Amino acid sequence: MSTRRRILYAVMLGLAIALAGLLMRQGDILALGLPFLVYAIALTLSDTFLRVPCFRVSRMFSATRVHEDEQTTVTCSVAHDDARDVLFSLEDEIPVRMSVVDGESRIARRLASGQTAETTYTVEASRGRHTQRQLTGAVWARTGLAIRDVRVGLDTQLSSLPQFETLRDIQIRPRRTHAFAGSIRTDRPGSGLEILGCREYVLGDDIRKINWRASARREELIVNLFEQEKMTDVNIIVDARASLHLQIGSARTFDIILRGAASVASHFLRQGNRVGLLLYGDSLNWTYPASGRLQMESILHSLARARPSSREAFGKLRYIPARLFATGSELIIFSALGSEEDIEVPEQLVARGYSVLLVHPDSTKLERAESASERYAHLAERFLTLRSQVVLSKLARAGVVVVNWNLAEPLGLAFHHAQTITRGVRR
Amino acid sequence: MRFITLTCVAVAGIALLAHTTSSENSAVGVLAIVLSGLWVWMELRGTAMPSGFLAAFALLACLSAVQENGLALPALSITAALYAWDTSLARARLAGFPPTDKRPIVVRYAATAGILALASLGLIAVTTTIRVTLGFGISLGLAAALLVVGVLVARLARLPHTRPTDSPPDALQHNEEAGREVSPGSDTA
Repeated sequence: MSTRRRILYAVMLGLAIALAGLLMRQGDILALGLPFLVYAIALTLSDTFLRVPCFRVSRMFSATRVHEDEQTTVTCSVAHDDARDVLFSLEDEIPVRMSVVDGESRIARRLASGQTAETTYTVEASRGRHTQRQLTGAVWARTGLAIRDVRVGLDTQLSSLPQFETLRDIQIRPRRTHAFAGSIRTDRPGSGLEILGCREYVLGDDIRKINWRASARREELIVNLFEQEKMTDVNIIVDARASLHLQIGSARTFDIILRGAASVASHFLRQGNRVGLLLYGDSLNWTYPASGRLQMESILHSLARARPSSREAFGKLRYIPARLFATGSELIIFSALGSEEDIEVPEQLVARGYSVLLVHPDSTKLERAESASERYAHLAERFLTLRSQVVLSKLARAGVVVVNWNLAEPLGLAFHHAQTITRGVRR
Repeated sequence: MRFITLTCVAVAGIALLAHTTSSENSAVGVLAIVLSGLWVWMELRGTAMPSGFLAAFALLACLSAVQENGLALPALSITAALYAWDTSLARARLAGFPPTDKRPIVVRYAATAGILALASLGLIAVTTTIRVTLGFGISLGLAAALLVVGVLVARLARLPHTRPTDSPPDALQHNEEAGREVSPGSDTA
């Protein structure tokens, strides 16, 4: 209750008692209104003479850019240059998706002139950008009676970026590469590290490339041919439609998928490729392909801001604007493919000349763990598994590289399984 | 601060009970004790509605004073209830702050409240020695005047609360790195 309301309540109560005393012509009842009058006068005088001093407030972070579940320390300091001591309290605003794990975000102190009061607390923030806009507090009168509310506007931001894992080799075969050297194998001879084949020695060939075993077998000089490795454009498409994402216990499938997308982006950017990101759901959030650390930061910040959405305009996957992607580039799609129409989209993209890798997030195991006690859970799991196997094998036959990702396991393991199967098929 | 609140609540109830035990109608005293008990219980649970309890005690004190059995105990009761209400509100504002930080505020507040309570009781003691005879018409006129004052106060309370700045603008300092100044006129009523 603010000071003004306290004064008003006391005055109204005192007046009511005095009125009753006057109407009943009872002096004793009239006298009972005096404590309220004394209180209201004292409070009014205390409030009138209360001066809010000039505060200098600052808020410092140990790190303004952290990853999910990482902690950062916040230090708030308050100082004033008024000649008198000030009794005050100040509380830092904590946004909804941030939580204080250690320390106090509040200060209540008597502060002398020239002194600085400080509080340090540790926060943890969920994925996203968090803005702290103000500190709210109060200044007490010297009598301790009146209180004046104060609000200090102070905007600071904390970015909590998705965690990502380091992936090992992911094999992709885009139809078109750039002219610059990179790490993507192109099935063409050139300077590289992987052996493409052999041919007869021609005058001028580097003698270090002579394959002595093959030469001994053929009784003529044979040289190794190395595969050309170039850089390429990799476009990551994340399906952010809310209908495809679940909250299973404390885990959200959308957050797991975003971490996977960040891992893939990090992997290809480290190899020197250009990586772009399209978040499809709330809008077309498109991060133009580029390379380097700045691009990784842009992608992480886009992923941090991503939210699942139910907008009808982007309700179907076939509305993805393929013209955003360079012809022949690699598309890596993170989507659970909710409908029959969605299943056709990767096939159509392959037909348009793109090389498509579909990362299919499979939440069946997570859901099974949560609903283990339900009667037909095992049948539902089996049905869903069979359905996804049918869909994914159909896509594989159409030329889409499919990685079925069990969300209960790391993404690196899913890629490893997928590539092991592919190598087995090739053999 | 909770100790002050609970003590004041107990005093308020016991004073009224003591005032009414000697008279035939002790219902007011019993009701006061029941209200005190309820208030204490709700304070301990943290769900008290002190404004309602204050109004109830004011009513009981007035009913008790009508019995013409002296004014001291009803005055003590209503004064104790008033400061129980105020300390309950003040304690709510300080909830969650570390004890070492709020101690200076609590000490000053307790001293001020104590002085005001004693002043109120002293004033009531002085007024008991004054006898003024008012006719019915004068009483009615004064009551009407009080009503008008009450309406004016209620209307004034609805006006937006603005105050002139207490210090000139050039006295404000701005921390360019991360902080901002407090505007002395800011108020979040």
